[in-house]
Amino acid sequence: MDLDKIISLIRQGKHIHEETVYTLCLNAQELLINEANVSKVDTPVTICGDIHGQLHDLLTLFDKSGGVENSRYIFLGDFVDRGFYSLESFLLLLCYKLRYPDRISLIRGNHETRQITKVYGFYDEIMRKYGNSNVWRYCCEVFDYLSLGAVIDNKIFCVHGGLSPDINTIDEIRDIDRKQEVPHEGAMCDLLWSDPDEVMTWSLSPRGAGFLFGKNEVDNFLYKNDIELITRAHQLVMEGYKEMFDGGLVTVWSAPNYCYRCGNVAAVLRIEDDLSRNYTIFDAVQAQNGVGNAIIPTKKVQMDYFL
Amino acid sequence: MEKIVQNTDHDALTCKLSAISTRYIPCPLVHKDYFNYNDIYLSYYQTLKTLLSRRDQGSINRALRNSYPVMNYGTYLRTVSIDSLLNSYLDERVSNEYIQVVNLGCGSDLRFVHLLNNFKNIKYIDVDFKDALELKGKVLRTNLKFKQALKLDTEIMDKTENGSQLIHTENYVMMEGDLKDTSDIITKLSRYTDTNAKTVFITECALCYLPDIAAQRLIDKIIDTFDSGYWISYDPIGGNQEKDKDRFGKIMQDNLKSSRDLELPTLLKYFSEDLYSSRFTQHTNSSKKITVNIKNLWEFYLQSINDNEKKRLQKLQFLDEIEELKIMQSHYIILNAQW
Ligand SMILES: C[S@@+](CC[C@H](N)C(=O)[O-])C[C@H]1O[C@@H](n2cnc3c(N)ncnc32)[C@H](O)[C@@H]1O
Ligand SMILES: [Mn+2]
Repeated sequence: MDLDKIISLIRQGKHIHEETVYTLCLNAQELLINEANVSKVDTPVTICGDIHGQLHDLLTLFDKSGGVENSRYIFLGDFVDRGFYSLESFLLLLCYKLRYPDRISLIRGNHETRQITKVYGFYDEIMRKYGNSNVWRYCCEVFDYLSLGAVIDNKIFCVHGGLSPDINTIDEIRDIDRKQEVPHEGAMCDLLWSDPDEVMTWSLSPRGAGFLFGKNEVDNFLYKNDIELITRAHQLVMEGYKEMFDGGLVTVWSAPNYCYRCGNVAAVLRIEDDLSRNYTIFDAVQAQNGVGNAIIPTKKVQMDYFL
Repeated sequence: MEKIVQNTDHDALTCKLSAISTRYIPCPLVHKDYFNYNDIYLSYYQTLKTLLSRRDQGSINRALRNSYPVMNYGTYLRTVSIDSLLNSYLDERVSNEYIQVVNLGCGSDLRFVHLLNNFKNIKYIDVDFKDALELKGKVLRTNLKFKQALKLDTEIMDKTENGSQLIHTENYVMMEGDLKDTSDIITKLSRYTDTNAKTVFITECALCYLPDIAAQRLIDKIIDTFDSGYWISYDPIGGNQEKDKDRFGKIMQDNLKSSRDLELPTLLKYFSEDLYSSRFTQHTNSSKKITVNIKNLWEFYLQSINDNEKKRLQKLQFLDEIEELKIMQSHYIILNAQW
């Protein structure tokens, strides 16, 4: 299949045929099945947080950070849901993965599951665009093969959500059987759902899944695994990124003006060969003709406000 | 223009139906004594559907299917914050006093059903545009449940004058009017209420649609006219663009303008809790003493929802993003003003 052509169609927001999606997903699965739960990545690399179907902002992200033709990327998950172009965003990343397998790592987020996408928009988007759920099913199959984390130069650990009380070492993550729907509890669930917070020890998460963990847990994990940083996404940060615990952990968020209404900026984090950190901040795609938000499709979608 | 504003009532109703179907409301604490809560809203909607255009039905149905947990949380907070203020005000007084409740811009809200049932000594006035109330009246008349709740069968006042569907019983009145026409509103209110009696005013997403001057005139006139009152208001606030670089209000205004041509004239003017409450405190032409309390709905969530209730909410759906809830809820306020 002509990946470059498909990539160009996706970038224009054109309809992609069901059979094409099927083939893409199948090829992606074959590629991903051979990847480890935790992939090893070299510097320099650009780390990206949640995308959530904001295709146009994803294009900005690539523009501002050199593009996959020229540099390496790690995406920390949550490609789909909430935004109006979940399918296109996910397919674009899959195409890049197939086209440049060594230049892009895709980590699973808590939204890359059947259950969550049924509530948060991806499923409905597919029904709207195809009239049936086949494409959603193909994509969900791929979700099950996405990796759970990455390690950069043995010094930086990347994950979507955070730590788990069931995981002490990165090697223990390698033992998880990841090829399944994300369970409601346990290590795999925690990696995708947990959040850092000012807590003394493991605490219940207000999200109803995963845990809250504090500086103690982070310091322990860094020490035990001989690493210096945990990068994760999963939480909206108005400034695009937020370092915590004396720089031992950073949250990166890459969906500007989240859900077309939050007013936040987005960031990506570039790790250089000497492991220094460079943040690039970017804003949402500007509205056309000065009216509203150009990324909202012309078909009137309900705007989520309390009126 | 009026139609656009009236249509926001469908949003409010849809949100409420969605929060009901996912069991956020009724709240086991605040709505403990509210009988058949779900049933009342669902049967209202069933009847309403038969009277709406295909297009309106379709958009409500679509919205109901796509409603996110963050919206259900918000609707829960909106409903619970208002009803808990309302309950505690009425609980304290109603056993030995007659109290009037006026819902300005009531839309499809059905609070009157529960309040009239739970408190014997009150009179309830629903105020909205004529069209909105005609439709509501038709739904209530068609549906047996409401007929009984309002004792419409036996009520002498229940005759349709010139085909009007507005309902007018001893303790429930539908008062049509434009909130921008202050003197008309005050005249009619004086006809249906006793301005010496304690009166509760509710504006739940209603002031936000009025031009600044009209809203201020309404607030001032009501405080002048009624000897003793209690005002409960729920509205969005824009946030501080200058100091906090907060763009929420600006984006909200642009989104609503471009997606449905809806305007919120005061969103960016009274963008903070202080500025919003100043509309009630800076009321000049009267010597009345006013005490105002205001908080945003995120503070309300943190301070006024107990841990058990928070846990109950968490179990209903996976809330995927707390920060988003915080951002949204810190841009909505609940105010009470007593004079
Ligand atoms: C968003 S709805 C809220 C309905 C109800 N208060 C609730 O929260 O469920 C706004 C309502 O205010 C009414 N409204 C807005 N401007 C008005 C005006 N100038 N005069 C009368 N009613 C008005 C609309 O018709 C609509 O029913
Ligand atoms: Mn997430």
